[in-house]
Amino acid sequence: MSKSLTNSIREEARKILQEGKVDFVIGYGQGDNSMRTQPVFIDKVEDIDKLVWPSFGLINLANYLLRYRTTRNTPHKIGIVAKGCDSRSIVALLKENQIDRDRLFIIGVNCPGMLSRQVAREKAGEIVAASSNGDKWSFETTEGTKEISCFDLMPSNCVACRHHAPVISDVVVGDSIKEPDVEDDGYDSIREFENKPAPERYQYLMSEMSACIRCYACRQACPTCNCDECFVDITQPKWVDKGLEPTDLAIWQLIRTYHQAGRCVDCGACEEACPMGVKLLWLTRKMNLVVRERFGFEAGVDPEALPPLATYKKEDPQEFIL
Amino acid sequence: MKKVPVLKTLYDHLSKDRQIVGLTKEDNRYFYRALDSFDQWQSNVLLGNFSPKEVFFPQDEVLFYFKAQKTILPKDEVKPNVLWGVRPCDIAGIGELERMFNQVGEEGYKDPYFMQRFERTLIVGLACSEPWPSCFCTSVEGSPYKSEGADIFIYPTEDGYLIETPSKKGEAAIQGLDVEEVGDVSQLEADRRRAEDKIEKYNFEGIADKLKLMVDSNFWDRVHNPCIGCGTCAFVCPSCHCFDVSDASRGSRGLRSRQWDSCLYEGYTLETSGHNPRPSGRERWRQRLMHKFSYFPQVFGSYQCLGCGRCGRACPVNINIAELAAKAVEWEEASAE
Repeated sequence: MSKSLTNSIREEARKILQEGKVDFVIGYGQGDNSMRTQPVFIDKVEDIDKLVWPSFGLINLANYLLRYRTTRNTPHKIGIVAKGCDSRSIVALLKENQIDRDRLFIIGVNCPGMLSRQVAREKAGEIVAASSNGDKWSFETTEGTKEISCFDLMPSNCVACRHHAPVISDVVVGDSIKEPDVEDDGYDSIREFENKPAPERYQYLMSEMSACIRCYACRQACPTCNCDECFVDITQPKWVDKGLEPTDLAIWQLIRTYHQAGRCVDCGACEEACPMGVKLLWLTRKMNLVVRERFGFEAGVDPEALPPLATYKKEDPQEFIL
Repeated sequence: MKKVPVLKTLYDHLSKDRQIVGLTKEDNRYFYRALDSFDQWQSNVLLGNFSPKEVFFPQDEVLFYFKAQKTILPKDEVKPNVLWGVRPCDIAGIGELERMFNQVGEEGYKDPYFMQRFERTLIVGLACSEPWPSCFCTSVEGSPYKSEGADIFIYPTEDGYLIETPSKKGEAAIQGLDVEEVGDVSQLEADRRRAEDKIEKYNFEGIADKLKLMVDSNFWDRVHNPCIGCGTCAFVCPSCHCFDVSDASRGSRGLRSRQWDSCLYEGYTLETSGHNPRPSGRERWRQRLMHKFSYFPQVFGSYQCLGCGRCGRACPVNINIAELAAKAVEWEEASAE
């Protein structure tokens, strides 16, 4: 938990609540322990200290804006804490006319990156208790105590992040962060994976997909997974069988990924939400790379640009059309 | 009580003519699966990702196959099983499932799919000398040393393992096992207290009656706020037993199956007309807490929450049901604006 970011967020939230600019502020709050984060809805100045800047905060708060989407005609004026990727989701939602900009007050945060519980579990094992000590985390696991540096606890999307600063905001907190060299687009790990032989990739991805339990935490954690009725819940006609057949699980994940084409902001909330630790970012990041290479587009970065699936250009690449 | 120096003795004895099911590791996930050997068992992990619920009531289960007008029941393939090393909260969870799927009286519902597995499973429990910080079994009438519901129950001690057989089935199963008879087991009481003291205690006193009066309370307005409406908590819960039924068919043949469902899904109560009597997280969370801490105690006389803490651990936004229940107990309507 960063003290200075926490204080700055509280200060800005207090101001907009006191001035009556918003009815409530959606931000991060402390969970059961130092590795857990629970979003909070603050509507009273007395509760302002419930806001924190977390270490393990891979939750996209823009997700909660869907409850107040334009079609629901809710009257609320909403303050929201937004790191780089959350702000990109807000842009994506604005572009799709899901939310009203004039009812939002965005407290943008220059985000230094988040740590991932999934990565911690993967590297440390079954964690019983955790504590931090500057640059390192110490985990008490069922196989003994393990120490891991903060950098090694970052998820692949934060390591590859090129948008630490919010792209849209009413006020920004935190020191600005130097974005990595533009030559390096952050997709090297995806290219490396692409170079593996097809059977190896297939086997790996199928084994990940087979671990899915269809709880839909990934969908529920994602701001752009916002269809009124998800294809997987539709029964007339039924697109996918309901059970745990690996092909059904793979189809569910693949279609979810396709539906995110040109919309996914690479926040990593889906992967972090997964109770089974399924590596979902392989799919979404691969798709983001395709969208970027073919259409030169990154979701939620430019508020004016039309998403590739919402427009047509004569020179769009189409060699993949049979 | 009986004593063995190493647990493998008991394991080998039981595995002679039975399939042992215990906590195994698959990548970074822990599930109750058939064990090939004693060493495969994850003895240090108290709770798997899923509880042993899935052994009796799998997430995805075929009820019957059909072909034109004919129905065919699935083949009964369950071997006599031993559920090995189950912790007291999960044993209590199996008890709650039994209350639901093996209801008393002639009118009571008996679930044949659950029963065929339940009746031939020997439950071997294991006391938790080192509970986890997320545990709260002592707040819901449980204890890390509670042997009730097990056929055989194991207490780890400094120099071996004490074995209790709370059921006749358990007693028969250890016939012929080479054991030392132990008379003085007073140390167990101290061990139990030491383990219980490590567990956070919540006050749920009078909660069933309190919640009855809270149907229209403002309490529900906020508590659901962080919830994103996924099914994680219900799936990992040892006692959640809701399921949905679906058909899969090609032409005139196909199958009917059931899958776990969750009361926190938007579609759980969605009616054909499009009307949804539980339109938001407010109503869905009210149902979840009421079911576990009010309706179930009223009907069956016990909480439907065993204090394993899996839901809070697995929840993407860390919602702690024990904290919510404790808040409900303390809630005063006047404190709402």
